[in-house]
Amino acid sequence: MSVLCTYLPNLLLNLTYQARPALVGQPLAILDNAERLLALSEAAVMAGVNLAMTPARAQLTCPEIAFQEANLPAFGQTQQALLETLTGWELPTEEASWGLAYVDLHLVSRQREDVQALAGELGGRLRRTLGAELTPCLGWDSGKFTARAAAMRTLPGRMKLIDAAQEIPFLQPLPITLLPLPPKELRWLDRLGIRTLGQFGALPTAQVQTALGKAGAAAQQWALGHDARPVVNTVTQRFSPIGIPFGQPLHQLDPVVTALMATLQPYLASFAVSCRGLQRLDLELCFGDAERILSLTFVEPTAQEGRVRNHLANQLQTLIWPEQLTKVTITNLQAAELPPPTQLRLFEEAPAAVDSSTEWLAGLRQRYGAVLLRGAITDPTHPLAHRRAALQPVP
Amino acid sequence: MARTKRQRLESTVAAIQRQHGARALQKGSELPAQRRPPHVSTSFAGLDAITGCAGIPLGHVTLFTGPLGSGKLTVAYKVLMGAQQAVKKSKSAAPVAILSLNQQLHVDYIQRCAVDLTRLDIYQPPTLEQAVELLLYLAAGNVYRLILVDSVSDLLAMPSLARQLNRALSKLNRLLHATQTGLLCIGEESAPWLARLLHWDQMAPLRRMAGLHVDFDVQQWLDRDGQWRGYRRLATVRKSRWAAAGARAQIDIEFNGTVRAA
Repeated sequence: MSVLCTYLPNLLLNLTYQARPALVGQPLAILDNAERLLALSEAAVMAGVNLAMTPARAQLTCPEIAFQEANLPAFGQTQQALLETLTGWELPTEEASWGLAYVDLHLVSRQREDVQALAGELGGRLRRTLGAELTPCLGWDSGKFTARAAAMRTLPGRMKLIDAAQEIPFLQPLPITLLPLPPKELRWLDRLGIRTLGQFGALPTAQVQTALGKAGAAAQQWALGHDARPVVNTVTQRFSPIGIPFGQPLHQLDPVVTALMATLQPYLASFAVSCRGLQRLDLELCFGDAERILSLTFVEPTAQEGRVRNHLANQLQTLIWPEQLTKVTITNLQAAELPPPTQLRLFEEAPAAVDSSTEWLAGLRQRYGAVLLRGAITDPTHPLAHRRAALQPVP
Repeated sequence: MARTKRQRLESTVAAIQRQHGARALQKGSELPAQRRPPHVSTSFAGLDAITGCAGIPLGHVTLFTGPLGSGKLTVAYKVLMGAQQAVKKSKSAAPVAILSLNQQLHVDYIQRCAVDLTRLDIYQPPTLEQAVELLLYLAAGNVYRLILVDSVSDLLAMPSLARQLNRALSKLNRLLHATQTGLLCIGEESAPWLARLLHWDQMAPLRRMAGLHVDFDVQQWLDRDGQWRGYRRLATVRKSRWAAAGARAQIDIEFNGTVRAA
């Protein structure tokens, strides 16, 4: 594979500064429609604000912070301009997040020299399209993870191309928080003293798989520079609708949810093993002659069936059904990478120091095995003292 | 003459206190009594009296040493019992834990020392190499009030593990202090006085780090009407942050189906 990652650092902040230059240098938070923090200026981060906070909490932490509502149409326009420039080559292009996208150069070039020329040309086109204020960082590697890490570790207006021989030395000192693993597992790794990708990559693969599951094993492969995920063309290729007809019209919720989940389950399973999650799901519901559109958006992409099922059931329950349901069509199913733990979260995570004892015991078991025992008197009348009692593992 | 001397002394003290503050120079009798740390009673009044903190301090390392059969483990079990009684509610089901390193735990005897087995967690690491790391994990967890290590001599017998333990001591001390967890270490007989003085023994870093070090010694068996009923042991405080070293106390341990402090 040959993946070029384009990254526009601080896209949302830079666009806001263009509209309101007086905000430059001030502690600033950009809010979305649901009043969640979307982006923070460096001054706000230095004052102790993080994306997991609510606006009220952010103001308590930094009283001077300025809140600016996100200009989503303008942001969308810039994002669209970025994607249109990237699709100029008619190569598969995947949109990852604001200002971040991958282009698959596999069909065009796999050599560093060729990529350097192509990336230089792309950088020039992006600068002409987006202006000098929005200078991109480019990263290239054989996998998406390393390409993204390279783009994020280079300066605006520069490119970082990673050869196969450079992958390991480049990845080894980078922090493990670049991997989209759940915070609980990252805390566990931190307790073990594993803080860099190099340390994580050096762990025995079988044990990583046992402890962290398939997603952990995949993440370890990324840490070693082996990322086989293809670039999914989400920009030009649209999702092919999937129709779910019912034999007879339904008026109950359960069979509808079950049928939908049966269709979604293979997608969710494939997302789970590649550290991705469902981000958006659009449904078209046919109630006889009437039609309804239902759109589900997950702020944090998820691959957990339970979460999807609950969200789906909740949305279908609150919808007014004019008649019995005859057909459901999935019109759009959009996946996204699970965010690294430093990204947007709805609620602030509890610090590691206040782990509950249950979590602590689970961590202990995971780390040392069945070392916790409890004594019990099994035969109080036995003539030999050491036979009167036994040690039993605590379940 | 004496009055002149006293007047000069008082005027000098007053001058120092004016210049450097009232607390710069104080009479011994005016000093506030030293604050006792949080502690757990040993169940032996005589021993509690000489430790300076009315028992075993929490948030510090305590070291019990002595030859085989000197009663150090029995006293340690009594301390566990005291900790269980002192802590009615704890974060986990058990407020105390034993880190057993020699696989020679006599559960029956622990119960006879009035320790509630349902409120006692026992850890047996599969290999000694994991012991230090496990100990740090237990101390950091803030789950137990008191952890008994039986015995550190098993670790110190292996040079690599002794080095590992010594390197971890300062971190361990910080964790214990932060979580107010008491750590009670059982060790074998102390090294000869000259070796101790010159820090030639493996236990020297642990002794330096310990807030309290009590040495136990065999004294005599107790009998009544020709019937053996227990033993008397001599506890000597080798080191205490809250009292002068060298204090001694006799402790009587009696057996009558159960083990009790006399």
